[in-house]
Amino acid sequence: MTAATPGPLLAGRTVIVTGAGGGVGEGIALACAEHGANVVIAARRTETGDVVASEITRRGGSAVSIRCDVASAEDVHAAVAATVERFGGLHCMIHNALSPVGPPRGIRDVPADVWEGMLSTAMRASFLCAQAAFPHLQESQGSLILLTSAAGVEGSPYLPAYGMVKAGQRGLLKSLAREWGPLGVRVNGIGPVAMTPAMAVVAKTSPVFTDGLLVNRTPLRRIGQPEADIGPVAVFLASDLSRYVTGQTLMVDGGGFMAF
Amino acid sequence: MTLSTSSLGDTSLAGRRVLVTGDTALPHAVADALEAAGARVVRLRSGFGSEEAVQDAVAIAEQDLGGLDQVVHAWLPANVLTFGGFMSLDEGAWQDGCEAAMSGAWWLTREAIPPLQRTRGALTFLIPTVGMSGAAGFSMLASVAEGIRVLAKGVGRQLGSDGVTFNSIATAAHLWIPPDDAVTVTGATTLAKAAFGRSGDAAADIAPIVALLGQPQAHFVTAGTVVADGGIWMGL
Repeated sequence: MTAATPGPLLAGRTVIVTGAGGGVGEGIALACAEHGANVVIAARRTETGDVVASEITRRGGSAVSIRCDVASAEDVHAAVAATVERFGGLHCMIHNALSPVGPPRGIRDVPADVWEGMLSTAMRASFLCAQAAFPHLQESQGSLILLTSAAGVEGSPYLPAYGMVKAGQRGLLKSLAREWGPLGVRVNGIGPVAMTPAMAVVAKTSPVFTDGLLVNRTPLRRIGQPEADIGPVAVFLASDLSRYVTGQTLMVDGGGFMAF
Repeated sequence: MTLSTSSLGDTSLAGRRVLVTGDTALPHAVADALEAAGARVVRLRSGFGSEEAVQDAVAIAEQDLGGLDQVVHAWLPANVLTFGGFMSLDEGAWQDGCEAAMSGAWWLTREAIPPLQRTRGALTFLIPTVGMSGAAGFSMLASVAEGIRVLAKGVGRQLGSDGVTFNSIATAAHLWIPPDDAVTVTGATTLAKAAFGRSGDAAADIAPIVALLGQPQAHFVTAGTVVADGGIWMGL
């Protein structure tokens, strides 16, 4: 096997992106399509997923929209089955979807439904996506990508539930990288910082934004863009360019968090 | 070194009031050592099925002891500590293991905060290092451990001004999982032997750190992770 060469990095490959009806997921879907992938937009609301799939098609790419509640085993397995039936295989599963994090709160003020939403869409959905995708990823020698966060490394005083489940995903992806590496399946994470509709809500009240803390600690002095800044890293991790990368979380945050 | 509950030496924990959760050898050994050093200890072996149950248990412990100076959380569901390939897990096992463990830690943290605010106390999490390293066959344990460790970082920052400290002690895997599994897990993450030539004893090596983190002398330590595995895991 030779190293990958420049070109359409994902030509002939099929990628599922959960939560791709907007925000970071949309950006990743658009970037993967730009690099030649068949992209499955897995979104809980088809009205958002359909728009993204149409945009990819308008640009000349290949995409379908599938309704998928990532906390539902039935939905996740059905989405994977439909993908394989439509495109003949699956090369990369990217789990990005997450229930609303809500405004910054003290831990004792976090409503039960927010905690349960975090748990089901981050932890259970990671489990479901990984299990449903694995047989196909093993066949294609593909990869699993989980969207996590710097908050999953350093913790969050503003969004403690978010930080906890994002860390849980990191523990999971490292374990799966160890377990699946010998089988040829890579598992990685992305810790993005990008201005999305969800982040815009948080930005109205969080001191991280209102006090300029985030931008001021970001060496590149700006908040990322989903398609232009986050998407290419997902393309990299889905492609053969990263064939020797597994168990890692790449922080795509303008240098805002430097853990190591 | 004598590996016994006398490992706290001359340290006196007289008057300290501690709640220890969990029903495995590690929390029992820690609780024994703290008691031997004079602390009054309430043990919460189970009862993490709902936040209300945790709330009641913490309230009873606080009432019985007349306050809580430290809460030590080491409870985990049994199936989290059992080797199992990821694809052998079903959704029910995942919910009963990973999700139950994360909810248990989340609820315990929430309910322990008011009593600890009253005493400017400490919440100490005991976790294995596999959360930081990952572990084949223990994906639930690793997920939970890393989630708890980072929770401590978040709430440590959030509640530092209240004088409550939140820290984690990350121990070697063998204090949590069967010895043969621990050898496999550890062997997959390191190229060398433990710096100390051994990976730790609950009473002799871990209990003193728990005691330290619960003492007023450690009041300026929060949101931290003390890796106490004899120098096995040396991540970046």
